[in-house]
Amino acid sequence: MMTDHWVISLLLGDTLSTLMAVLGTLIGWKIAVRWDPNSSSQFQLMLERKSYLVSALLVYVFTFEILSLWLFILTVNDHFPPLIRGAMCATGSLNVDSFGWPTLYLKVVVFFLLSFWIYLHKIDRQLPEYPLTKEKFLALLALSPVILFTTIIEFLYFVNIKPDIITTCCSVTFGAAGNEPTSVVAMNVKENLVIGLFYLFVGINVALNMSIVFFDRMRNSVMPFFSPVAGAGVVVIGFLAVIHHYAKYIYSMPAHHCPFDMLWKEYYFIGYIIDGLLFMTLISSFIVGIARLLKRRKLLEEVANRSLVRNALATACSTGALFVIVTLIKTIWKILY
Amino acid sequence: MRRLINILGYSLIAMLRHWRSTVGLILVYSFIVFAFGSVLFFIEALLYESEIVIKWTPEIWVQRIMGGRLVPIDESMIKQIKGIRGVREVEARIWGYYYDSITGGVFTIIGSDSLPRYLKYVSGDTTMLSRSMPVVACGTGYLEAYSSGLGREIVLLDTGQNMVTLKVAMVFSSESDLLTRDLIVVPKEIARQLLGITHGYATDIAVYVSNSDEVRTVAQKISRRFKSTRVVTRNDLRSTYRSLFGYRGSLFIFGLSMSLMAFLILAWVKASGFSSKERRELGIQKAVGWGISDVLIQRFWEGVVVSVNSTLLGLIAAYIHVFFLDAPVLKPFLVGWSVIYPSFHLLRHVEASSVLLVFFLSVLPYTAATIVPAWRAAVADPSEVINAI
Amino acid sequence: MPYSVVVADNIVKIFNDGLPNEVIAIEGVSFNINEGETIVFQGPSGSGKTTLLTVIGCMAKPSSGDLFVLGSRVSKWSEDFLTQFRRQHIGFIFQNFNLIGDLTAFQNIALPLVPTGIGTAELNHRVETWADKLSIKHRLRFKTGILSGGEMQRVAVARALIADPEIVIADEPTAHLDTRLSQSIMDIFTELKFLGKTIVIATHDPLVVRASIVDKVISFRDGHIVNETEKL
Repeated sequence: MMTDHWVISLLLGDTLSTLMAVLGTLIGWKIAVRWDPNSSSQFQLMLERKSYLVSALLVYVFTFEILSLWLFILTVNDHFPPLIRGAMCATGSLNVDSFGWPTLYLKVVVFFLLSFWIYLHKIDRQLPEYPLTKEKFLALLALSPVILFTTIIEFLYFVNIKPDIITTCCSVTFGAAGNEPTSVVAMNVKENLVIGLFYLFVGINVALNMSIVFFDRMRNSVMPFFSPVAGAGVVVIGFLAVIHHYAKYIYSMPAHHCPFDMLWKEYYFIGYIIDGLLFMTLISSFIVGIARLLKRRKLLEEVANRSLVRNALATACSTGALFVIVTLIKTIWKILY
Repeated sequence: MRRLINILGYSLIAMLRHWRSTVGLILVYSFIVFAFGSVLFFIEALLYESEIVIKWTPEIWVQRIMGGRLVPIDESMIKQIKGIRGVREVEARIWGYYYDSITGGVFTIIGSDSLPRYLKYVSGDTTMLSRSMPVVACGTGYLEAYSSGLGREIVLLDTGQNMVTLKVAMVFSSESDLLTRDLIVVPKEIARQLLGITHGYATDIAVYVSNSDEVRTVAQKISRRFKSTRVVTRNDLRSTYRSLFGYRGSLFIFGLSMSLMAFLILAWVKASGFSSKERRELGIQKAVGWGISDVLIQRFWEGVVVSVNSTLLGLIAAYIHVFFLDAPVLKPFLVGWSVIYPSFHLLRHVEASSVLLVFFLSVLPYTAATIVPAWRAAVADPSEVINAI
Repeated sequence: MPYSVVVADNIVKIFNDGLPNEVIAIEGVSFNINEGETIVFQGPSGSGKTTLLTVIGCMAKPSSGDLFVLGSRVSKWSEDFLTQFRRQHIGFIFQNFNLIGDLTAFQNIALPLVPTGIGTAELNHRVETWADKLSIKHRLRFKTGILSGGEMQRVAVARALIADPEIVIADEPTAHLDTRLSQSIMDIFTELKFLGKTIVIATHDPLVVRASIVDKVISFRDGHIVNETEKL
């Protein structure tokens, strides 16, 4: 697989991105350690200037990682299946060696972490004193090892693919046609329970976040800290609900539970919309929590408050949109068939 | 957003003013993209075509190997293979390569007593073929080589150098050239004569399986039962093509990566170096109110404009090179072993993902290489300009 | 109570601090500038007046001391924020005009506003308004490299004013100019004072020092203030 064009491109790009992240971290760490906002010395000025470089590098890394995640999905979902025996979609491609699924999970985690970092960066930049510089660059110390690790795992995934191994596809992993599902995600799931929980979490998330948007008291209480919990709930249960219940209506097949096929053209790329909304919900609900934390600092209060409201609205809207879309799919299907 | 557009406008004007160095950079850059893109397009087109060809192969075919070489296979196997569960149809195939010493071309002879249903033909009389008369259905390759045509006669030599005269009853249209260009379809008996395959033997045995999931199992059963055979499945062929083309292509691409690396170094140097004029201009910008992020955005736009345009230019050139000019530089290297001697034109097929890939690979390293030089420019001290003459 | 647009408190600016070629450009400088005043910094070259201009012009941060401009404590701000602030509130007129010769007058004047989110229509309007006020509207489409000295001067002033800043700073505005052009720029300053702008000029030209619009003269020597004269 190492001679495959897609693989080479992905690895090249990710290596580049990792290098930038590491470089940014090394410079940023020095800045974080010696940062003194009260000093006007030449040294502090130089640190400030270097911080622009690190920020530029990280913006690049962030942009690239989004593209890389998408490209990775395309590679394992569209490009690999014809080449790997038994693979019909990403599930099969990822099952082919033990590094497949970890690569996907790690890439998603990196994406989230980077989103949060970019958020911190944006907040930091809104105030003339750049109050979050120290925290921002220290956060990089936690972030870049994850990026490095992810690239290594990705490399191991590709290196270990031997196309003559027959892999298992979603019918086995996710359980269909009477097969016992092998994935933890798919096991022992009662459909009605999942749907019920989904409705519940959607309701909680929307109610919680909309009340944060409209009521000052809510914003200043501990409630925003529950937003990440609600958001995570919506996303996890939502994902399960999609693959165990709504997938039926997308695929018009009662036993097809694959989360990757819906990213295909045949299904109007609906998977991207659903996944996009899930991402948005999770990210903005976590940012609500982060913003609430930042509000504690006097200097950041106003800025943090604004972003608190914005993101609470965002997560409520994306949760609502998700709910509407999956329900719409189900309704349309029921009308047509 | 408006801010980004405003800065973009300014960057474009600035780049136009220093057009000489910008154009030089774009040309070199485009060439690298052109080289890379040509290889990529060529390979993807080959794969696409081979996929079309593969569709018409049987799911399994059984060949006999002796001493590492292909030899005629015993037709008596057919009955036994038919008995294997899952097998829909079994057919003995008479075909082979015919070397025409006069033109130096290699053609494919297929013995058939009924016209292959999937191939288009221009004109002719189907019934003529089944009457076992010495008539032939011919592809455009042979006919062009001998300036022959429908209704005319062609002469082939059998294994004993005896002449076999055949009347051209049908001509394959050039639309099916990919499959039929070098094809000569003759009655089975004549094929045996031309290829030297005696009765009771065939070139190989085609096996059609009812359920595609069972191909592997059936293939295994056949190879276990008949020891000296090679059993090839359609998927094997597919994987082989892919690996082969992919491998050759990747070698090329590794080489190109080297030149890309060299180019990036050049880009870095260029982005860092300033003429005093440019330095002064930058100083003035900063003095009148351009911040560090503003200059960074300007440099970013410069990078994007150069890399996107170069990539587009390179890709268009690659497309023309491969699909209109037949890739004169690449073809011998990448298709060297092909038995399709008469020249063929690649079908114009480009995957959207290939284009995306090239952009990915081209724009990102370039913009990355320009970040540090851009930053160095952006943090230049404006107060120098105040004191400058 | 007059509103202080600039409050300088014990400003110190050191170049190359810590290095062998360390230079203390200004030391212990404190003063106030009120709204609408025209102030002149006077002194020989090397006295630190240009450095002080860059500091109050938010182009450089003081090494120590506090600086308040328009009520904001800019001495503690980051570079990018300073630049944004400067862009909006301070217009700087340089000694040598510092125009980009290959660009047209229009483009030179518009330059400070390019990195903002301003729309094209608004930008056009502003450029033409200021060009009109400075009587160079007819030369807007010409490259500044081919303009006359006086025209370049007015383009430089228009550029400094495009964002309609409250404070205008000029560094040796009459250096290298003949009497006629020197007078014309003083006329421009008179016009600006009439518009309510606060003007700070660094010069050693007696013509400027003696001009009627000047409210206060602050004299410098070796980086210190040696005298502060209020004109009546």
